[in-house]
Amino acid sequence: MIKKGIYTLLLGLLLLLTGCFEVIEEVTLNNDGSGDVTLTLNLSRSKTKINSIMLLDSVNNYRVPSEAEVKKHFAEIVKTVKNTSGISNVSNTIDMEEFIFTLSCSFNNVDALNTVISNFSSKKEAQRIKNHKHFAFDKATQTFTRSYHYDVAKEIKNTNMEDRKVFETASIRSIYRFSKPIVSSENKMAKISGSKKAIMLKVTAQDIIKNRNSIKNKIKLQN
Amino acid sequence: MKKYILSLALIATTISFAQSLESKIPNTTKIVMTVDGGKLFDLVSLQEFENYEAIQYLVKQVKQQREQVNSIADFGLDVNAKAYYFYQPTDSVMYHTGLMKLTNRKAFEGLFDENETSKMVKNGNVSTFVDDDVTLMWNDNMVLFSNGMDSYSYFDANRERFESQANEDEDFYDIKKRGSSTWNANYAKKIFNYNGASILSNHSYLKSIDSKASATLWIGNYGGMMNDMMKSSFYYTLGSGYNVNGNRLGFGTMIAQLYFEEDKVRMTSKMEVNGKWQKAFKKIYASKIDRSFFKYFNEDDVLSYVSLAMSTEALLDEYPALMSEMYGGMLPEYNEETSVAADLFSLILDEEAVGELVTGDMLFILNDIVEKDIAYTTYEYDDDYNETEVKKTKKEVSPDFTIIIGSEKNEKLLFRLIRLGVKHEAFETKKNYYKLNLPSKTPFDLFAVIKDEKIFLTTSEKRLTDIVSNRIVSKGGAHKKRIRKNSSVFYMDIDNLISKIPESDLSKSEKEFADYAKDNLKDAYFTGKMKGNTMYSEFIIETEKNRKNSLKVLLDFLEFVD
Repeated sequence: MIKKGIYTLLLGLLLLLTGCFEVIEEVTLNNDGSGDVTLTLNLSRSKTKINSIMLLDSVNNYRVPSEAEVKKHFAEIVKTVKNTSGISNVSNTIDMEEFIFTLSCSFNNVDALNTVISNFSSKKEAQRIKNHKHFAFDKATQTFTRSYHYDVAKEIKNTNMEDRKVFETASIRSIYRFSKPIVSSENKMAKISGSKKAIMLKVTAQDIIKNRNSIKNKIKLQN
Repeated sequence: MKKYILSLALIATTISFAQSLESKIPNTTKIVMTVDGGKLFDLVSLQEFENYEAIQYLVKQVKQQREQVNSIADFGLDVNAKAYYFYQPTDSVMYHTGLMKLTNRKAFEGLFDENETSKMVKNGNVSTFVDDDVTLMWNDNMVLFSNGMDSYSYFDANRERFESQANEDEDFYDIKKRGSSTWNANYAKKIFNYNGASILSNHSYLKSIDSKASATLWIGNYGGMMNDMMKSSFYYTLGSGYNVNGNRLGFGTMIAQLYFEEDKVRMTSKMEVNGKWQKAFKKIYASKIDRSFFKYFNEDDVLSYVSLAMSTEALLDEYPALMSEMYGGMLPEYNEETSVAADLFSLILDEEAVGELVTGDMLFILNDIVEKDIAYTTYEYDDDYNETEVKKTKKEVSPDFTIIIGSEKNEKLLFRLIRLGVKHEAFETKKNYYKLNLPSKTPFDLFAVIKDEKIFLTTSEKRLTDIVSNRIVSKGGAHKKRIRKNSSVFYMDIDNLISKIPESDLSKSEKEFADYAKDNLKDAYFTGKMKGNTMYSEFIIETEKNRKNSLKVLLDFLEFVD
């Protein structure tokens, strides 16, 4: 019991530190609808906490994976992406010191990105993605649309309070680059760059949970 | 004189009333729990109590159904009297029973709805209400509540017999339910009219009664109770060879008590240990922490500590036999195996040598919680949103602690171990102490030295060099006595500990919670020791004297948490 007391005390102290992480989605879209995408998950700010969690077997009733398991799981994700038609140049990085994971690839057209997402979804979800595209580019009107069909706020509300704490300080940033200037953007929080050819949007998980904002956007380019 | 006689008479009636409930508890009862309402409402008046939001909410909920209820007093229960819960298992049904005094029978009966009232049966002055496995019985003075839970193993073992008695359309579940419901109703009746030998003739129970305690839990035979619980469980029927004998665990009577004093909440427990276990525990916990430990203890440099004083040698000596006793009893088929394993354990270990290497005296001290700058990676963006990776720093807290482990005579072996450690780069030699090469991700450094028949490990290099060069402050204060008197102590300076946590790391509600704790709670400590054939433990939370007593602090705290 005494040993447990020390253990609880030390780990309790470390776990008290609230975690936070950022997700960055970068898309460069060419005129013909092809392009490159990079997805970054950066947990560096929470590295002390993750390091202490990784000393445990489980936390909040979740089994904590080993470093090897994390790498294996990530390799499987990369493999699935590589096997998607319309996707090429897949590369990835894993930094287990800073806990930064990146995955990037080229795509023939944005619909290939929808296929990638569908490949990680259930059949039912995949069908919904077909009807409700997450990425779309209409060449005729030169409109790029970023959307999703999930009710993220509801999904998060379904998790328990302890798990929800993880999202307290998380953020998602999207950066889209085009070869033509941007004329308009529907999401008022998105900021168009000086050159007018890039647009950035940062949304906190709190904004999404409270339905104040999302990464959904419709961007119109010069015709 | 008249006044004295009057108060004497008053006391006598109070006692006789109290006894009238206790006299219904049979002397074969396994567990009795007492809650002293009078004591509690002395500390916080009923009126104050009803001002708490949670209570107001409860009353409001009841009022929605029963309009006549405006306060707890309208429940008709005598909240100022002692209330009892007791537990009596049989081979087939486990009975959980509650007893309370009534002040207003009519008000109590008013709590039942129309449908329930129609199910009440009045026989003479006694009313009965049965709903499945719950029975309520009451007269003008008291109410009894009983819940009978069927024993899985009993019904399973006699399944055929019960199924042959099934009524039409009844499955096994229905039969069990009918059986336990009928038996429970009979049991309630027996207890309500009980006139036999009561728990008041049980010497051990009588000894547990303490007028100062707000609540008391008495378990006649802890080992035996564990036995019953395991036997009646579902798992027992699964493993046929699983012959549990809790008595072999050596636990006897267990008494736990709760006290709300002016400036502290106190929970105590006493557990009797019998037979082999008593002798073993006595040997293991015979020693006190060596006085030389206090040379390195400074109460001004302590947020929390854990002390431990036991004999490693005795532990290693006794452990195999105790394990074989326990598991051999649980798994008789493997009696031989457990016994061989125990002997092997003794053969491999030289108990005396290990006992010298690590005496069993140990002190873990959390000295401080320090803020450290931690570098992390993030990104910055130019006007065209091109990304640059940048390093930033944030403040994080890290524990600053010291561990002192007693080690006698075997310094030679320890130094050999260290040389080996240095060779394999587990340690790094500093001037006259060592730095441990911890994994790079460990959020603190660790320094070590062997000195004064002790192994020191600490996160602070300065503290370690101070220990090495004897620049230490020794100040034991009240802790010294507490540590010496107990075989284990777990202490926390709550307000100081909480104030060390950076506010930025707390959410708004956590901060409010922390602030309340900081303003109202002082020190907390858990102590444990063995004396005679009894293991004593005590858990104390000291409260600020800003309210009339600790119960008030606790209730305000609960209100706050809501």
